[in-house]
Amino acid sequence: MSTRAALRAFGRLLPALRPEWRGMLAGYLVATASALGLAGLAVLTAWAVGHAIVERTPPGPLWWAAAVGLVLLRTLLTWREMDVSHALAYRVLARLRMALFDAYARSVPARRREHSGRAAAVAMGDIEKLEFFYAHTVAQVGASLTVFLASFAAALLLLPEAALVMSLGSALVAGTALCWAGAARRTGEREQQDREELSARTVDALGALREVLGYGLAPRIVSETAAATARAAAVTRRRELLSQLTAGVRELIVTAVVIGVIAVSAAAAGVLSGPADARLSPAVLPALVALALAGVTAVTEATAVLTQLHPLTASARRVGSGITRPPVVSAPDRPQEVPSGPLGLRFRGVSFAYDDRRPTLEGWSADVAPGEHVGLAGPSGAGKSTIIALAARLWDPSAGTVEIVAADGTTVPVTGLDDEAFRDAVALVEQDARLFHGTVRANLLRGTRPRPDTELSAVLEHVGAKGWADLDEELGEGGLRLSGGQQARLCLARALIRRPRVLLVDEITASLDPETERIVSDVIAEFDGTVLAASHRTETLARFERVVHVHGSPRSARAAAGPAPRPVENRV
Amino acid sequence: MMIVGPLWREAARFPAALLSSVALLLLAFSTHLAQAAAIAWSMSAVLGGRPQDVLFALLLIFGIAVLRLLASLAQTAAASGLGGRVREAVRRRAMESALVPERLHDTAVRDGTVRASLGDGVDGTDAYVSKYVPAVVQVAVACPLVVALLALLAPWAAAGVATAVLLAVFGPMAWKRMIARRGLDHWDSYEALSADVLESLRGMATLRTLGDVSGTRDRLHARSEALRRATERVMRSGLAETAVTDLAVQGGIVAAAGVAVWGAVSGQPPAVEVYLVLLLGSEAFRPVRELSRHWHAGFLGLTAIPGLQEIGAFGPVRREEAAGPAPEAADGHGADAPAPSAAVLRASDLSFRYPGTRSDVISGLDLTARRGELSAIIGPSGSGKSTLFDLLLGFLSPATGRIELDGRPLRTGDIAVVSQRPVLFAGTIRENLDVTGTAAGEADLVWACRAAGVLEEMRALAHGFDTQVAEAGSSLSGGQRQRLALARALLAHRPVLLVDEPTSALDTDRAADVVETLHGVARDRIVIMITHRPEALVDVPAVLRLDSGRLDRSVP
Repeated sequence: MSTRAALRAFGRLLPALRPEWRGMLAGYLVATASALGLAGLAVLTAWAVGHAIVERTPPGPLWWAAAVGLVLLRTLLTWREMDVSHALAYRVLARLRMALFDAYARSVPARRREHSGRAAAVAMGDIEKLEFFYAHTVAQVGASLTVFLASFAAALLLLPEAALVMSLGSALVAGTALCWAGAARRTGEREQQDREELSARTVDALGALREVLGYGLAPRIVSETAAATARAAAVTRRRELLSQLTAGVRELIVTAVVIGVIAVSAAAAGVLSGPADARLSPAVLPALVALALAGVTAVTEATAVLTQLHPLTASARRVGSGITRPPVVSAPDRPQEVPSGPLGLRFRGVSFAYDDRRPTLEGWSADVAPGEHVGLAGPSGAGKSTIIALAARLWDPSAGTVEIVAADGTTVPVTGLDDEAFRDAVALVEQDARLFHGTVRANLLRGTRPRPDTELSAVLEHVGAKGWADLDEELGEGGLRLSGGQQARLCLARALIRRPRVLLVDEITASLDPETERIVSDVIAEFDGTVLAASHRTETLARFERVVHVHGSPRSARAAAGPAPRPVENRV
Repeated sequence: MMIVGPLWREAARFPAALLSSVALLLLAFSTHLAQAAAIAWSMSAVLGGRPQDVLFALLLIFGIAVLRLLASLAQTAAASGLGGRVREAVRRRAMESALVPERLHDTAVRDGTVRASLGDGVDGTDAYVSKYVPAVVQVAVACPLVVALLALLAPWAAAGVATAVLLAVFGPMAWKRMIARRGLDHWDSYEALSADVLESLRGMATLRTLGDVSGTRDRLHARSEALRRATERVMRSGLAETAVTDLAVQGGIVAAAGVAVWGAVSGQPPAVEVYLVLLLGSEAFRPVRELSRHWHAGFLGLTAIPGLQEIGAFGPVRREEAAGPAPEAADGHGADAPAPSAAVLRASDLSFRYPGTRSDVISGLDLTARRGELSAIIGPSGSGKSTLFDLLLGFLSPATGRIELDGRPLRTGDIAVVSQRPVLFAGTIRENLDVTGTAAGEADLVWACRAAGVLEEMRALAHGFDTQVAEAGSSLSGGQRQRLALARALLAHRPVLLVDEPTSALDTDRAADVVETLHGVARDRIVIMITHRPEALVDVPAVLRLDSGRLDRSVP
């Protein structure tokens, strides 16, 4: 990654600081005061020692007052500066976390499937890493430069050669910010990838724990994790060595500056050439060295901050590209209302492809009249689930439109509808419908307004869940308390609670026993509204008024009438 | 100074790395002392007008600086090696304790919490082990040494510096308890947020269709703000530590300077000693400043320690760390590999109930399944079929009864299972199929996929068996996942095959093929199938009905 790309990565994160300019200004002022206080203290001390040795005069009470005052001030300012800058950074991080969530909410699931473990690593770990960037960069670098300028001016007054040595040294120190920058960024990138990889593997192993245990994979996963950690530790060691090396080089330069200042002041004091040319009292020498050291140290600190940013570039880039992810569905400029009354669906020449694969649908068209119950049939992988997902607006089709049909026959494209109103009107029960950590009640009420328990219980009874789903029962993550059939019924109940006008169902009966299948089919048949349900099961499809066949791309456009008891002509 | 016991014990398990990082740190520190002496010498040479000495001293300063660079590089290598090894050991144990059957039935555990502990939590220990631990030793050794040197030159300065060092090191221990408590809050909030973030990412499609994105956002925002507040609180207590250290350091240096000035004015010591007192006074605090810096860099990482301790990441050294797999690791591996074939599986008088429930899910169940014929179990939803499978697999321990394979206890590694909602791993189809590494080449994969009725679809994929599968297999349809899981189970070549509703996601033709395959497999393995599909029960001689925790022979 080039320096320019790195600058872009960090530049993208700067807008998050915009609301914090007051805090940043305060941080800069406090940091500058604190650093100046420290430099002043060092110079003051050295000045007193120099004069005591050469002129045998003790410092007056004013000196003592100033020294003690500076010690106390410095303590207070250090604390204050860190407090201000860190609190600011944590506020920014909290804001970034929400920006990232918003971006994910617009763009997940993406057409190219990603691993939630990786995304979670970015949302948690990488954002935390940026604390250093937000807490230390702007205010500290600014403060350091101010201190440098102040010391430079003071040194210039005392001995111009010393000021020259100091500024030369500082320029060299600043130059080390670019030393091994590429290597440092690469190690940071590797570490970032390792973290993501570990996160994905952990999530994978936990998500498939039954398989992991059943096939005895745990020892392999554990030893692979350990080996990956060892590799990551080797990368960390490399990063640490690089950072130590640049720090060491900087320290050498600082040492050279000290040597140079001692040498030029020795010359100026006439030590090297004879007292005749003396332009500087030896009493000032310690103060001058302290001054030069303060100036070059300030630049060193600023450079160290910049050097520490290199390995963070990868995190900055991941977070930056996270918050600017393209949405998977377009948001309308002027959202339209969802028409009242029963709603139908119309697919017009709909095409869709997952990013890395052949098109799943090409120019597919079909109609579902308001109030009609339609089954979608077709072989595995023909695109039934994609049609359901497009009707539920998980994605926008790559060509064609999906429209809502009102009772009076007028149509509105789903892309133009107000999202909240659309979600109220259309409910989806997916094949992999997810239950969340929390109680049955909390799961039923997600995304809908509070309802009385009696109403919830009635719906639970309707789907045959009365015996095993108590409203206060904890389900565990992904509903682990329940069997597959129970989960499917609870997801159906969650959709019905919302009293939708269109119910979309994807393979809900796939893993049910006949008894549960009958209950679920009964519930769907009794549903007072429009239904579009994908299924491969003849028994399930037999309960629909009409069945549309999906053959997959590219013959998908020719949908044929299915073996439903009352085959209705397919309006394509 | 904060001593975190578990991490010191972890570091002590690698004595060579620990000793070398400490020794090299002390070596690097000693170059600072040498440099201080050289600077004092050079300045007094300037004062005394000895150009030869000035030049020589300046060269010496530079030489020492180069030596220090080399010493610090070696120290960094040793220290980060130590940190890396501790990280590896802790993560190994944490991962081991996460992959246990107890998690399968625990509604309180959350994957995002474990993800955070295993990842960020374990990484957080590195700074403490590799930086802070050596720095503590440095304070303990170097500070008294410098104070002793100072005492030779200027006892009063030494006394002042010693007082300040003690204040800087032990002062912050006054609110150690508060730091620990706040640290706990911080990690709790971090884990809670991490759990919610992962869950919402995994279920984002559901959240979007439920219209619960804004509700979830509110929840996450509350969690995120709780984390921010907790982090600020930890940070503030950490900063108080920094402030106390800074006060002591600056105060100590000024005090040393005061003593040096007083000595110089009274005219007793030579100039070189005065400079040296001044410089040593400052050097005495270098270890303290480093300690404080490393604390600041690593204290947030320490908040994860109690959580890691809870999941057993700091447990005793287990055998497998020395060599060889764990006891469970024997399942399906090495010398203890399952018998290729077994004749009869017999469960007798099995009972089980979930903790906190009033009645048995399984009670007094007897089951005999033989090689040579397919055994089928039917029963209504919620009758305990999944529980029975978990008992057979050893994921649950029965309250009473025994499960035996050919007269010996049944082990997890004897069984290949196809669950109702099988999960695939992120990776290629090939990796997913040959998960136990027992497949004998491409032909075996083709055989298994054909037997499971999924071969054509796999061949139709862009990269065949090398096609990447998305997280949990979500890029494949439910039916494809189910048949791949069957192929995977066939390839494991285990004597017992458990299948749960193997035809539920299949159309009629495919279902018939799969049932035929199972009949074929049952000729040389014990096959137990849970099913309700009448089409799957055709020709099955032994159909058992699970009802109120017992199995009865059913009339087909």
